[in-house]
Amino acid sequence: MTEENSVIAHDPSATLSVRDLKVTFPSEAGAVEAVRGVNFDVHPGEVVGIVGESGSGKSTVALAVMGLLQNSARVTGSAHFKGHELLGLDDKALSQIRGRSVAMVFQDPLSAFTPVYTIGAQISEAIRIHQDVTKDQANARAIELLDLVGIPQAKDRIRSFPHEFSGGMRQRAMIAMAIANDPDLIIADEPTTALDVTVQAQILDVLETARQATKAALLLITHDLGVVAGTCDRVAVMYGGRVVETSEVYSVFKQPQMPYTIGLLGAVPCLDAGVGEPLIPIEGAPPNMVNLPDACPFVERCPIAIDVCREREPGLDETLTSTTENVHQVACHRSNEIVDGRIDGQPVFALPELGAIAHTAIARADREVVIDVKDLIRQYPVRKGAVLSRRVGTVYAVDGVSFDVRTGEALALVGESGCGKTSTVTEILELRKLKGGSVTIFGKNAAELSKDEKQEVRRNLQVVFQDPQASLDPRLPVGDILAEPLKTHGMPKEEQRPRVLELLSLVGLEATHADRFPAEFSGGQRQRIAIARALALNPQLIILDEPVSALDVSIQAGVLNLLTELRARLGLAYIFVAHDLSVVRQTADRVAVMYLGRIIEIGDTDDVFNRPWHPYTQALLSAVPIPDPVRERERHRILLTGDQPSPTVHYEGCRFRSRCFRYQALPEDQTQDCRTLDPSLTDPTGHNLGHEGTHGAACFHIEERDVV
Amino acid sequence: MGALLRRRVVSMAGYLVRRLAISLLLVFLATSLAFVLASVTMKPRDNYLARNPPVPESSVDGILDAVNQNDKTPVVTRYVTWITGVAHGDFGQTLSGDSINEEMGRRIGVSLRLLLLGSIVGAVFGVLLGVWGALKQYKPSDRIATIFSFVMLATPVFVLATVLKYGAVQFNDLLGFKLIYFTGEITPGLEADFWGTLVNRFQHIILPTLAISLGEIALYSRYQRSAMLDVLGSDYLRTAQAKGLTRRQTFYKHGLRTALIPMTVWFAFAFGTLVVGATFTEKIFSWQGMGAWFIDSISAQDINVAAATTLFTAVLILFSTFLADVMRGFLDPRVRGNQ
Repeated sequence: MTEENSVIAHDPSATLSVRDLKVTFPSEAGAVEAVRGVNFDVHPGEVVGIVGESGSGKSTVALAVMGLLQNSARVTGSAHFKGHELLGLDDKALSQIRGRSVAMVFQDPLSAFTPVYTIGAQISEAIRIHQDVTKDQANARAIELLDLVGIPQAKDRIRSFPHEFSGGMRQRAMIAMAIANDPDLIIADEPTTALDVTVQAQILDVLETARQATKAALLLITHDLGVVAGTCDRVAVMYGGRVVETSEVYSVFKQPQMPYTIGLLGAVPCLDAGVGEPLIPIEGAPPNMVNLPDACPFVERCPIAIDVCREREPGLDETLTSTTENVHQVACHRSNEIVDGRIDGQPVFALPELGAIAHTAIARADREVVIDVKDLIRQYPVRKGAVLSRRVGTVYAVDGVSFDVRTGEALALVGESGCGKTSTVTEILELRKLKGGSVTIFGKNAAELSKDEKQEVRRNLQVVFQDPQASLDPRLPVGDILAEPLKTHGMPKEEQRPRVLELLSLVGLEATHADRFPAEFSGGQRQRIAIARALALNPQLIILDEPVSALDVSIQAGVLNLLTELRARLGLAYIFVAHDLSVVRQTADRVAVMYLGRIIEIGDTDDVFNRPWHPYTQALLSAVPIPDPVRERERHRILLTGDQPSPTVHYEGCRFRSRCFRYQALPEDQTQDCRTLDPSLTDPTGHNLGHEGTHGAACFHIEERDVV
Repeated sequence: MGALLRRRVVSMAGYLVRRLAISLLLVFLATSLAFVLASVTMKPRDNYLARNPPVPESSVDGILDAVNQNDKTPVVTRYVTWITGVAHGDFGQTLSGDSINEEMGRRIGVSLRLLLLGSIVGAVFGVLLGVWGALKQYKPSDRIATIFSFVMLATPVFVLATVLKYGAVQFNDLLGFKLIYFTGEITPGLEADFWGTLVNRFQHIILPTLAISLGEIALYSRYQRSAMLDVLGSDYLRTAQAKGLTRRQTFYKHGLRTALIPMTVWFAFAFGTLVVGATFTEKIFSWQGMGAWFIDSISAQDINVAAATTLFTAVLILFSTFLADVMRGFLDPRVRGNQ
């Protein structure tokens, strides 16, 4: 394969220098080659990003270097840490280095702390393993560290158990633990993936603070190109267990020369794109890492593959633009033909054509209302006691939500976890008597439907869930899954099969797929099956509950395009629930931003993204990283303080007040309204438009601000 | 700082008090049900009907009235008499008129000795075997432990006890003298000093303890093994290693304690099966304990004895549940309730 790789010498000036790292895992199908010859250096004080999608081997690299892989893994190659070999060291020798010179921050902060010890005990343990200090000294240091990473009242919180911390606080504590011994290198493995976007912004900030405090180098492993753009000095893109492109961060984003990198950058939804603009998906799925042939691992998905790509795997070679100061390496046979993401004057990935959305010709007010939700309320009781359970409180999950959706329109409900967006749509799907408010669906009051009417409404109202793995019965062939709604609604048997085949072609699958089982499909294909099932009965309205959040970026783009295309072709209306704002930018016509059970801003997508009014929307948008290092580093980020408050309390005044930067900046005499009145959706003049208005925000001090 | 700690202690104590109150309520319900059920189904009168010469009905009534077991008295009245007695610490009399309290005092000691040793041996060795199996997953030693566990789980106590008895006979023959005894809890008429008595008691208790704890070991080891495997693959063990603990330290400091948490629930469950097992074991090895007495009371149609032994069992099982809750509350900060 690439013999020349193994002879590259270690860089003596590097903090971490990895050469020809290979990791294989045994499996029933054969040896899984998870990492296949990876080279990289991390220099003192430098931030290096390893970016890739699931299965690319990026996390395995980090764990292999730290000797934290399971025993069955076979690791070869070499990893020098400040000139000393790490691979092959015994557990005792490695434990001297781990936590002292090299520290790690893991992805899921809930499971990464031992649940039975306090946060303080776990941090001071990390100190006392490597430093000869007393328990009290370690404790005092732990308080200092927690203070540094921004845990309020660190002195008290040190005695808290992990489950008493929020996700963001746990990740802060994790970083505090990582810098406890002043390491030379911090390895952060997807440190912000499990967090909400405003919390992610806080954590990236803390990580930077921690880095400044310790002067450590940072190896950041992530799937998020936006995070890389904002934080890294150099980046290595991994695909199929190898680095396929590496350079200084500006070059990779500006002059990508590996088709996979180009595709990945094109597939990321952008905050500054337009509604209905297509994304550029990468067709196909990542390779199976067992018995890989000697070919480019990306060849099956590459639009510009030629014969040699199938015959020989390309080495990671320097490009023509590479200089000694800025080495740019790419593993592609045709890399030197690619300039500015184009080859022979044509873009590497052609922009797919999506049908125009027909309804745009008709004014919104003239289109029929599909669903009208008024002052919807949903509450959950909080119970205590196992035998004699009693109600001790209420979660106000949805607390007066109003919106309408018209024919052919896509409304996005966005917000962070716990804001009530999913509770809103599940309450709508119940079609039952409400605790408060009303739902009018297809012109009928949902609470007063007869049994037949209900069945009719269900036919017209369909749903697609987040996790296609869980929402498809694993024991039914796809054809039966798609035929089930047809059968339930009384379609004659002989008409079912043709309809199933029609549905498959509608979502871009093949007729032969009807006889296979869900497990034989990739995540993206499974979500297509779930969409096909929702389409089976020709519905008017589809509720999409986080339809792409379980998918990798390159796959997600294809599903989003499909949704846009189907809407254009079939005149569907969507309610699109998402936590990721960029995902809805190109898919939704209207956006409703939710916070603590209430819509705090609603309007046309262009308005909300380009001219956000509510301070929360502004903070939310400014926290979404943009995959462009130049612009990302020029942006002013609004950091919100703290976490979303508890939804079990009824707040007087504006519910966003406790975290609002505008409220904090206002002179005392202008905050009266914020403290005493509950704001409704208005325009900047204070004119109440209600939810039918084109753009409104629930704020007394609306101030336009450009944040993208 | 102190406030938080104090709040923790208070919430832990509150949790235990609530648990204890619920346990007491359940003991009351269980014994009341047992008394009523025994009173409805058992016919102590039958003991006197087949006598020759026939006992006059008035005499039978007299005998039964004296011990509060006359079926002519309404169940409710008998129940009130009985429960009033129990509330004052008097469990009534057996059919032959002996005090149940006295007999029970002696028998409880016998049963507890067997149950206590059985559950300690079962829990300790079960947990050890489970941890060992998890660490040696899929190695021959783990496979042997697995086979042992499944064979034990599939063997009823009375079969196991009989096999053990047979084995002991063979073993003693092989040695040429009696090392292991298999009847009673002490050699009758033994004259020995304190140590001699202790050794003799030990020779008697080995076999019944084995009979009840082998199944326990098997049960515990299976659950401990899977709990341990869950923990071994957890993220927090990786974190602990990443901060500089060796594999061994990680395992003992962060792994074992967490893996013991689910076992506390099993302690409560396993104790129930242990009590049932002990009932047979006492009969087979001729131990005069509560289990044996319960079986005897059924053939003797003695309502008061049946109710008293049931109460004993209920108390034991609920106490073990309570103990399991205490252990769980101690090991797992997440169940200590609100803060």
